[in-house]
Amino acid sequence: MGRNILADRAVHVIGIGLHRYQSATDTPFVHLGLTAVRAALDDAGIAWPTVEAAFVGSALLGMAPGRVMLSRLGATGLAIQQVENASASGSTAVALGALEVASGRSDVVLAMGVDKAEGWRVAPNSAGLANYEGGTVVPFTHFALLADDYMGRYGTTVEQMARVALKNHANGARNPFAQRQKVRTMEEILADPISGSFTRLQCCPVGEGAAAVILASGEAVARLGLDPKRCPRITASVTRSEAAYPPGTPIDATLTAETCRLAFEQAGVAPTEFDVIEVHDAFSIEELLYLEAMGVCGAGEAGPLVEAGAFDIGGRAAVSPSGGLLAMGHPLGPTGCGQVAEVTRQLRGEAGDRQQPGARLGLTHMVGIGAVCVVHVLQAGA
Amino acid sequence: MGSLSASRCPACGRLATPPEPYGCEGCGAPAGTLESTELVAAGSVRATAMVHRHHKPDPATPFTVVEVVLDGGGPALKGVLAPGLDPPAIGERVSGAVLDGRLIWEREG
Ligand SMILES: [Zn+2]
Repeated sequence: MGRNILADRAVHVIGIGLHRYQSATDTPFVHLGLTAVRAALDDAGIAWPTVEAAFVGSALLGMAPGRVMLSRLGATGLAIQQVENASASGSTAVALGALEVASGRSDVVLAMGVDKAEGWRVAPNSAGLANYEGGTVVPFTHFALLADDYMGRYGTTVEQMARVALKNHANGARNPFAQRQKVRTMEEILADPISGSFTRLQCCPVGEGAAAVILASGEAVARLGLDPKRCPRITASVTRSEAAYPPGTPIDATLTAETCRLAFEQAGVAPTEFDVIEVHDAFSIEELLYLEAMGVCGAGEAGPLVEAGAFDIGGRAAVSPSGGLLAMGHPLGPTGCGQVAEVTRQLRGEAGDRQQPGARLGLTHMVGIGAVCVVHVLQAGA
Repeated sequence: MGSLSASRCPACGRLATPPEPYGCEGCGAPAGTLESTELVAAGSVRATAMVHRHHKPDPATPFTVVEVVLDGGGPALKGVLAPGLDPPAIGERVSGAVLDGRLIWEREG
């Protein structure tokens, strides 16, 4: 394991901005992206030419979306890199942006995600690898099988799992950037079966949108005269991929457990210390699986805890206060940047009626098919 | 009861089915060094999911996907339950056969 350069040179989030996540429209991605970046520049209170490098996360836009979009803020000649890492593309843009600042190569960088749900091409499907599934096991069925195994193992009920969606839809209803902004009843959550115990509202919507995060060194925060209290620090940034676990190992949970353990070591924190957690809840079961894998609670405890309100805003930790992938939505490229934006808002105390009281420590967690996992730890500014 | 062609890595013992065409995920041994073997398509049910929405007409919905832990080790395998059967319970014994590239499970015996 190499040196932790985030400990050597502080990296702060100084600006956040979003374009609402929404169902597919004819709006060009350039408009979506520029909306988010302009909002992030306004939020930071800096001018575009201050930004030295940009990392643009998208999974579906194809080649070269960065310059054609960012040049419309003024073509300054800054470094632009495209980042594709499936669902974790935006998180990976943040990871690379943080590395760029921590390394000392740049002082102020943009990490953003922008995407439109069109033109799906998934490389593992054309990798020349056969299986026996014949296209019958799409992601919602993969996770429905995990849910069946989990519920059988721990006695977790269908209603407890559905409580994840009930909570996250209620959070999304208070987030103006969420794709789904409607408080739902348990009856609505449990209607419209998709696969196994999953219903439509327990599966995330994939649409379009954009999210932007501006990162800066501690020196730049001081030089630009920014309020340090509004600039949370990124204290861990870890990216891992699935290893060859022994047969019988729960792959999804193990990848998350391993990635988070490294992140907690890097930040010097324990999983029970988090006030705010944005988790990859593409399907309701994932929130329960990953909270346990992270060590936020013990195995089999997440269902009863979510039912008791422990992960509501105001509970022991607010989990997916943005609405998560289930309600805020999952437009792929933006999702990971949107998580960092939400945690930043929470750590600043600027989340309005979604505010977790006294939030000081936050976690963002994304998984991408393949599988990869990207985790960041953020500490409130001082 | 069907058999499944598989590969076994002589270096680390990892099983793959269908046979691994590139290199061992366990240790990186090239595909040319992997040994051909067969696994018996029988085991116990780890999980099931009845699928109500599918993006293609085949198989017709609802159908049930079954994930099975094979007796002979290796990866747990997902396949479709033979049409017309009630979903098996977790832990129940099933056996399978490959039909048109798809693994079809049914209750043993
Ligand atoms: Zn091997």
